[in-house]
Amino acid sequence: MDIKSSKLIKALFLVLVLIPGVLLRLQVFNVAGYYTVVYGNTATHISWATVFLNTGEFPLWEPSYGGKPSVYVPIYRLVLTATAWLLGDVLLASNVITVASAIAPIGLFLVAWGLTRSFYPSLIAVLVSETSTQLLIYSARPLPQFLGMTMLPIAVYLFLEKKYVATVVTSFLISMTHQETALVLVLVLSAYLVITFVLSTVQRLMRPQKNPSTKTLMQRAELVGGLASVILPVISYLVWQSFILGTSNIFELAQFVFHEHSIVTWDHLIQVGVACLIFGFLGAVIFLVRGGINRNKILMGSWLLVCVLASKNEIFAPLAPQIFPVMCDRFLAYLAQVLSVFAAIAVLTMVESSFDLSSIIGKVRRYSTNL
Amino acid sequence: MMKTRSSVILVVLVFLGFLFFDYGAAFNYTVRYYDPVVDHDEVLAAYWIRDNLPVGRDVVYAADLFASELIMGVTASPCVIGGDWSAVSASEVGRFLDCQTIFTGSSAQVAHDLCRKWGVDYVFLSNRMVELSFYGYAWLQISKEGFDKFFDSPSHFSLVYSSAAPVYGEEGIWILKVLS
Repeated sequence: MDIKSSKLIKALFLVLVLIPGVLLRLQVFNVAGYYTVVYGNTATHISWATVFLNTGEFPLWEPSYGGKPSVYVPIYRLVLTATAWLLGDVLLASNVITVASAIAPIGLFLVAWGLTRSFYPSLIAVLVSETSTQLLIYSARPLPQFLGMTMLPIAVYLFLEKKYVATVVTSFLISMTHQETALVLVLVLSAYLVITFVLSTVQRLMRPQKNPSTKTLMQRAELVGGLASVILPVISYLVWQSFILGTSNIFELAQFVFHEHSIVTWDHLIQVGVACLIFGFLGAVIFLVRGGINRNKILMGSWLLVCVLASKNEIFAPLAPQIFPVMCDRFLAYLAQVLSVFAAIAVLTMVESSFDLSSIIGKVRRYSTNL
Repeated sequence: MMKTRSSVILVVLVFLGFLFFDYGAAFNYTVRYYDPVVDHDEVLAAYWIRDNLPVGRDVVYAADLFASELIMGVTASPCVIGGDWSAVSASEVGRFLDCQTIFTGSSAQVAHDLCRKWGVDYVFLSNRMVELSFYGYAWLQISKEGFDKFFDSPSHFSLVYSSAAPVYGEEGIWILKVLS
């Protein structure tokens, strides 16, 4: 099979695994009709876009709450406004964006591919993510969160591939798209940097002479890129909030003051998806325990750790009762993302343990070429 | 080896079974979130507002959360509530309780005072809101007294749009001007 047709078949498979997500999202036209989804306060973004389109000026106010500015960051709203301008109708644009959000799992495919370098098994990450209720209710609606959650795994993939400038840029874009997603990315990269630093230090102390290469467990570029990807989104958001609300204190926001949250229960967990949970944690054990420590394991382990702790952040309430608990169940969507990647690894490992996968794929290719 | 392969095939089949089950559950659950909550007639009334009433930054409407979002989205006029409550500063969330009182309370005077407090120019009322309103804290019903007060107090509220005669429990949408 030549390279061109091989790429075509791969592209076809990628489109195929996105179809379940597209089918689900097309229901928006059935259920909502011409008007649009309301749950999740989607109209607040529509109204901002309407003001922008009506006045032609970037609105620093919005119709929510009597016409005051709110802390929503602007990128999703700009995307909605641009789509509405192109289509000539903001409600249609909102529904079209709902369907377009089917691209959300692409980043998960990239992460799985970055870890395994196996195209077809990486598609499993996409399929698993499309079966997680907790993930879909936040990524299948016309909300900033869908865009943020699309970019989050892309940022992780870029960091994985040591493309640090692109990671910094993506982290900034996420901070201007969805705050909660930016928080997850910042926490994941912070955990990665701290864990890597601690491990490097321990390795140096344990074997100062024998293995000098341990000194380079964290490269300078990685340290700078990682720190920049943590600091830039934090500063960007604080500047935005100061500009809009006149205070940079995030703990004055209603989420923290009123501790908006639902404690994660079994019902919530089941909504992560049975396959996602079982095979995700199985894949996590397989990936993290087998072999020695490396940066991929630390990064993925950090991602998992942050999502688990964020979902159960009520355990930190005795330490900082003014902050915790906050938005516990909302972090399950992020847990579903990382578990989808681990689920792909679990399935790949199991199949590879008994079958020569490259031989099977080769046979399939030869067969499809002969057709 | 054959035994291992059979076990793996079994596990993969179980995996696919779970995926199928999970997708069905996710599909049904997520699609529920596509319900726009408001009625089609409310959408038409929002377009009527856009085409026939003053709209813009200085004209404030009052409705429950979902109708507020509808009016905001269609007309770009501000509403007392609407939008993610947690996106505002903590001092602003009292709006929800006041908006709830405007609609569910039985006193026209109190409703009028609260409308003045938040600079409300028009009140949007529908039978859907009478049966099931949401103001950010709870799903509530509007009582007969709560409904009738808007129509029994001509010194406070004046009807400017009506899709049907205002009868408690009957289908209809009513828009009332808040008198100064």
